[in-house]
Amino acid sequence: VERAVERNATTRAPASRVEPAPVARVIEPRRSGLLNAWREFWRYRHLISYFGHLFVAKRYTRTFLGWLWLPLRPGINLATRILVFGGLLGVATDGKTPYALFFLVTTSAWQLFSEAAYWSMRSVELNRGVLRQVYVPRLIPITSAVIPSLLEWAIYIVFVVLGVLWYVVRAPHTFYLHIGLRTLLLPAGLGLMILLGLGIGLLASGMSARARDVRFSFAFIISFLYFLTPVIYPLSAVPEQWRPLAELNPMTGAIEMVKDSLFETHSLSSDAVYVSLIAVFIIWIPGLWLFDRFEVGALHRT
Amino acid sequence: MSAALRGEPAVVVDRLSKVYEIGSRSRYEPVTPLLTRLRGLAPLGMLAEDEEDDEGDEPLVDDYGSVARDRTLVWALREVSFEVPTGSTFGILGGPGAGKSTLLQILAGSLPPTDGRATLHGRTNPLADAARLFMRVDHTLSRNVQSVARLGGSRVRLSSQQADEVVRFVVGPGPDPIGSKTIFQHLAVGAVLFLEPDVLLLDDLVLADGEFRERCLARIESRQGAQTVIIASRNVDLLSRLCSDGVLLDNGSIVARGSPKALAAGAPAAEAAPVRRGFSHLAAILTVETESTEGAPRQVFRWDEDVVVRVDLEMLGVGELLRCSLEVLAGPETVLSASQPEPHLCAEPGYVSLRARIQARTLVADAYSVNVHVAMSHGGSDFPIAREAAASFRIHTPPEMEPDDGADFDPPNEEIELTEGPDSPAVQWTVGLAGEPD
Repeated sequence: VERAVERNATTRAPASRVEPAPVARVIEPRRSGLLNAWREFWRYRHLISYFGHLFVAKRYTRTFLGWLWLPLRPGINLATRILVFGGLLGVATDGKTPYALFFLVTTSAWQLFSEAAYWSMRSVELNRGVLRQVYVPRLIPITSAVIPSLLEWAIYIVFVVLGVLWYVVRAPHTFYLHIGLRTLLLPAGLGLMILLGLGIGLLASGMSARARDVRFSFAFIISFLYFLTPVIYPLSAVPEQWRPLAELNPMTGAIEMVKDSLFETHSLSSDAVYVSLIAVFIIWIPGLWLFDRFEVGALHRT
Repeated sequence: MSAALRGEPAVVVDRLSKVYEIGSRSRYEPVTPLLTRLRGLAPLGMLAEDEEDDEGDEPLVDDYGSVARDRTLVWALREVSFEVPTGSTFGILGGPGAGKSTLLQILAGSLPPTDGRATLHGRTNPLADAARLFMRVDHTLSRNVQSVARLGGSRVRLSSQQADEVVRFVVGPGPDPIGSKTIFQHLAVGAVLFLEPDVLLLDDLVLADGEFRERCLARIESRQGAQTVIIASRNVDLLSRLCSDGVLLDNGSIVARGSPKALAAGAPAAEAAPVRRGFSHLAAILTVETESTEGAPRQVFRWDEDVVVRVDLEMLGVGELLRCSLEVLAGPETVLSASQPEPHLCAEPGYVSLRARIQARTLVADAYSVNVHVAMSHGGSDFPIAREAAASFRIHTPPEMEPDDGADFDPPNEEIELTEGPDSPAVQWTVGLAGEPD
């Protein structure tokens, strides 16, 4: 103890001179409204990395291979699917893009959506212990789902790069990716993917903390959506009369943006983009509003 | 702390209130599966199990149903106002459930108030209790300490050297601490103390242990005057030792202000106050102990033995339904939680011993601590009355068992987490009347 006192005496003297006047922090009842929700979100942003890391760790705890699963899961997943869809079923692409490359790009983008949806949906349930005892705005764990999904996406990107290199080595004079002005659509498309994924979490996380049925149902819906959306096939494979219907799917716009940005498929219609944007607004604006009301009104401790 | 602020209050609490609405369905209440629900709709007598219920309980169920329809507001804190001068140590005295923890949680920012405001000059710390929740067994001790620091806000950091210092402070010169039952709790407290916030918020409960408690108090005393301290306790001696000023809380309201000694003298008068607003008068947890199935107090259990957690309660709220629940923690993680499946009706004031029997092989060989909560069951949701983090026990595996049996008894993390709810089948509850303890 004496030692501790001494150390404090030496460290505190200069510190008290340097430190600025402490800022007053005011604690008040939560106020509703989107602006206040945003302020609150910003104040708690430092917890995003905590929750994000927890999600990543959650997937790999109690595994023998541990972090090795990080590249293994996407790797095995991609290999089997490319074999089945590209090899056995012989799905063709629009232009001259090899199927494997097409599939790598679209699936990596889809993964961003489905991982964000999965983790944001489970975020409240997985952190029940913490959330029920400490006040943390629910948007924080939900947003944290971006971290595991971006991490997984980064691994997919490594596979995409490997795929590109493979084709460069095989056919040195044809480069299948089109990098140009259209590539600017890529971040927009990926952003839409993430927003749509987190939107599902926004709507479902509260319910999913109560009943696991919600998670199971959404898992089916998302895997169904995977086949309805032109992820594993080009939009041109959809018969002409069904195409407007396919473009009503908010995921179509987002995934077509990604495809168009790298393959110049020119299959992106403005209608599909509008549908995606409208879906984002429809999910987020009332979603946030409802969420905020719910958070203010409900007990958060039992 | 700037000189300009000296003499000015570091903390101003202005008519702070926290209201809970009970009778509404709690968000985390587990759902009843559809089939069970349908069965519940079936007319009485159609299903044999329904008839097996005690017939004496019938009117009780009706009361319960009618209560559920009207929602009541319960004031956990009601218009609490006080000021704490910069650099002073301020005590909050109060019995279990008086609102001490609620007040600290609000000041620490981990619970939003319903009304009123509090102004704090300078940094505060996260509460040790909350900090413990963010610790993880798969992280090193010093990394855990750093994550506690991060909780305080994005700009609050402890360097890794400081974190190591905290670990040394907590662990002391003793042997390897891994697996020690309260290490995470102590780390959280250590981290909070070493963060050296301008306003230190501390709940006496987290200091439970003898020797460590003394070290923490010594550290707080060594910094007296340099930081503002708000400490909540039900222990008058502790408060008298640290502070000269404080408030007495009862049922969420301030009953008196003054030195802890004077407050303690004033406490009986508060007891006699006729108006009761909160819940703390309904029940108090007296002791929590682990014992063998034969009823002998024990802290160490064999892997194939049932663990009995005995909770002695003083029940005062006549006509109320009280539900006791317990949480078993390994380090910072809750591995098992269970509540009494049926709330207990308090027919007359008195002492009750509850025993929760945790079946052998539910828990792996490890060191555990038990948290006990008592809640009032009201209209389908439970409202907390009192909480105690008390007993700790250890389950040990005979050395020859370890290599091949370890895996079998290892509860899969995720599944155990999901057993949360009113009834974990691994825990059986019994209620017995007890005489007044000495």
